[in-house]
Amino acid sequence: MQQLTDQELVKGVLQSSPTHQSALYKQYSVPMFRVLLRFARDRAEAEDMLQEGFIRVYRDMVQFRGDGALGGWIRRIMVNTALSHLRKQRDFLRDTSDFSPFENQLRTEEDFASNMDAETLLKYLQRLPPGYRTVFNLYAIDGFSHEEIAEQLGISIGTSKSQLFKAREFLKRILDKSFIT
Amino acid sequence: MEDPQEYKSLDQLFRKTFEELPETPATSGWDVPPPRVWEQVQANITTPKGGWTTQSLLLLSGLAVVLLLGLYWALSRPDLPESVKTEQPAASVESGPTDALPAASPEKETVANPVAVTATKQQPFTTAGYPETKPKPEDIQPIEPVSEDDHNIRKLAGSAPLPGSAQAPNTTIRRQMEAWRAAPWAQPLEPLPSILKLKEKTVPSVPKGLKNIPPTGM
Repeated sequence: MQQLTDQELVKGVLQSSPTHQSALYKQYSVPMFRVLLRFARDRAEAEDMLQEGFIRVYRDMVQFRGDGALGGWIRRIMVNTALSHLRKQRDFLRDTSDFSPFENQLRTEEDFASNMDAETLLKYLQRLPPGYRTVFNLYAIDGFSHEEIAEQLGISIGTSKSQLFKAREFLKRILDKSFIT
Repeated sequence: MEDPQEYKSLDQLFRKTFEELPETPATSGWDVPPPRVWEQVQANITTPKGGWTTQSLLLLSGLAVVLLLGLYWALSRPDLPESVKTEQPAASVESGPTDALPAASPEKETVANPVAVTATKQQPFTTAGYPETKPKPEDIQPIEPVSEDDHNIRKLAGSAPLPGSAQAPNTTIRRQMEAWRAAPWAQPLEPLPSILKLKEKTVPSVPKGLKNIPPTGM
């Protein structure tokens, strides 16, 4: 089937056409699932976020004005969905300086033998505490500033910086170990 | 403050790895969501096509119950209010003879129906102590001619409409009047049957001995 343009998809979704709704999901579900896997603790949580995010996309499609790419608009909705999902967790900003439980989890043959592909890096990311993972994702991969992160998560700029520092330290340790071994 | 170089390269490693992924899903399938996600999304975005929802059914049944209760209350009410029912005896005395008479003046009615007089007699209203006011000619409105039936009906109802206002037909009292006219006691009395006269003649006479007994306890 020929890929539909963004305009055609938007028009069809606004007319509640099941064909267009399905086509939109097929076109954007994989890239959006990749984004959400980075924010989620595991695959199941990412699936929940994806479901909630797409429901919002269809519901709020009428608000899409078409000034930017449809993919960018959907991605913003997905990231916002992930953040609101994470904010509901009690231990969202749990602080820890003890990395040993996370390091022990990585001491498997599979982890050390793998090269640094997306799937392996994703495993490392998912083992970070939720606050570290979220701030690292937003700052290092999605390119948000500390001011924007603080505003989005309802935390101070100092907290955002300290969470990023700890996330980096943790990831560096794991990567060093995996490279050494 | 600048990020140290080691952190910069760490950030870059993650950014490049995740942002430069091929468009096609990985062969291992780690980045492909399961089909149940779409099924659940689809179930949430599909609007129900017509049909009766539970809420609308509940609302409709509630409305039906309210309607039935209202109907029952309206039908189980007595036809006439209590105030009209209590006026019936006085009206029956008045209405019987007045049917045969032409539109009589109040004085004539009082003579013909002493019971009605006692029922309707009121204290005379005195204007002593109040300045006498005369109505202006422009305030006076012409009184509409009233038919005999309407006059009687208004009297029975206890209130006459204001001059110029529309009068709603009071069919209840009209029907009552018709019933009263047709009532047996409203018809002229027939002469006594001849059998009663015969019975008077056959009454036995009192025995002689009883006639002389003095009355007791007097």
